[in-house]
Amino acid sequence: MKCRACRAPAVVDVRRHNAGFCRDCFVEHCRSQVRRAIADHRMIGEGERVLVAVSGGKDSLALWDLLLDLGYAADGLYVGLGIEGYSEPSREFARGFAGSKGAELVEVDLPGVFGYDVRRGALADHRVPCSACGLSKRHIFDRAALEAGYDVVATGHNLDDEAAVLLGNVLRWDLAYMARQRPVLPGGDGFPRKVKPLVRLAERETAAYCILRAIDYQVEECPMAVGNRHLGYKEALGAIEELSPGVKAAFYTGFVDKVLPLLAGKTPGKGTTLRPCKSCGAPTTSERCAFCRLVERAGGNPRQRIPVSAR
Amino acid sequence: MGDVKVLLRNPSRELEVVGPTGVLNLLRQLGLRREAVLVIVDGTLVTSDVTIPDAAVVEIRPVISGGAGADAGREGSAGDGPRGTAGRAGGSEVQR
Repeated sequence: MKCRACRAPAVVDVRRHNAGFCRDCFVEHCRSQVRRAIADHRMIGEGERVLVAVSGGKDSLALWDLLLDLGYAADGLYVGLGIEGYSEPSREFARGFAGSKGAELVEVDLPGVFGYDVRRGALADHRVPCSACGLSKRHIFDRAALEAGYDVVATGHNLDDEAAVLLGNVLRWDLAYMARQRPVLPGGDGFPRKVKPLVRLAERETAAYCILRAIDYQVEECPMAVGNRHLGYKEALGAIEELSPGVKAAFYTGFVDKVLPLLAGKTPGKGTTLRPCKSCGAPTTSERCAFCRLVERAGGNPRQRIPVSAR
Repeated sequence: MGDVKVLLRNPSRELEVVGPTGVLNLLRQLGLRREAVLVIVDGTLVTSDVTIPDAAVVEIRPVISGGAGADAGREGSAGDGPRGTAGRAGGSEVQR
């Protein structure tokens, strides 16, 4: 197979584009997809400071690398979840990347700072682990970004992630959740802007990008995520994509282009009043936010400061 | 004909197949979808039309992960979706 762009021997094939790429042209393909996502959805303005949510996995490290390469001022924030046998190597991959780039990595360790881990938080708050993990990370990224003066939080959600979430929401016709599934969530009311610059890249592409850029990442799957519903949706979409390459991208981009505009005004929580959480000050509809409730139920202390310095 | 050593992940394991063999043929033998993995032959990423030579070492690297988006949209009763209303007991939460 030859590279579509330069006719050199290809090292990656991307079926939905019916194309192969050599190393250099594939890296440029990834850059151009991220550039286009950022431009199309006005994700990051000139001179803005970006906080990248870094897990040590392929998506977040590819994202961080691409943003740095495209010239953005991007620091990383790693949240240690206290998952035995998984969190520690993940942290090392994040540190290794930051060290190799001379990039700034802030680390927040849930057990060390807040006194709980994801497993304990999930059990105490009667959630599945992915929910306790997501709630904790969102809260910490939001707080860290606002306290340290970042303009935007960038997450590594890729095309497969977004298509799988969309499938789950469509299967239930959950219009409120579909309405908020945007590549950009605007800031305001105590929340930072959040962007997903990888929405035009499939996870096979982000993995290939890391391999070709010699970025070491955590290949092992999170033991807490095994068998979750999200993976089931990905499997189902993967089976359809196998028969019809490109259908996954058409599903998601068609939603963004054609359906999202029709869902304006259906955002969850619209019309509800937000007030500061009595414990931490984060916006909430209750007296205390969901994060503080979870941490206290798990026996931790949610009032700890996030060790990220304002700039 | 010689053996091709194949390294698989999640869980990590190793097996041998008769070589030479095509990438697609190998994936079929292993029951894997080509979009769910990358194939690395002797340290080099390869496309699906490549023939894997005798005595090669092949890593089949999975690319599907369940972490990033697992709680990204709704996941129903799992709790507060990001910037969404919770569907669980104990009061709703709005996150924007």
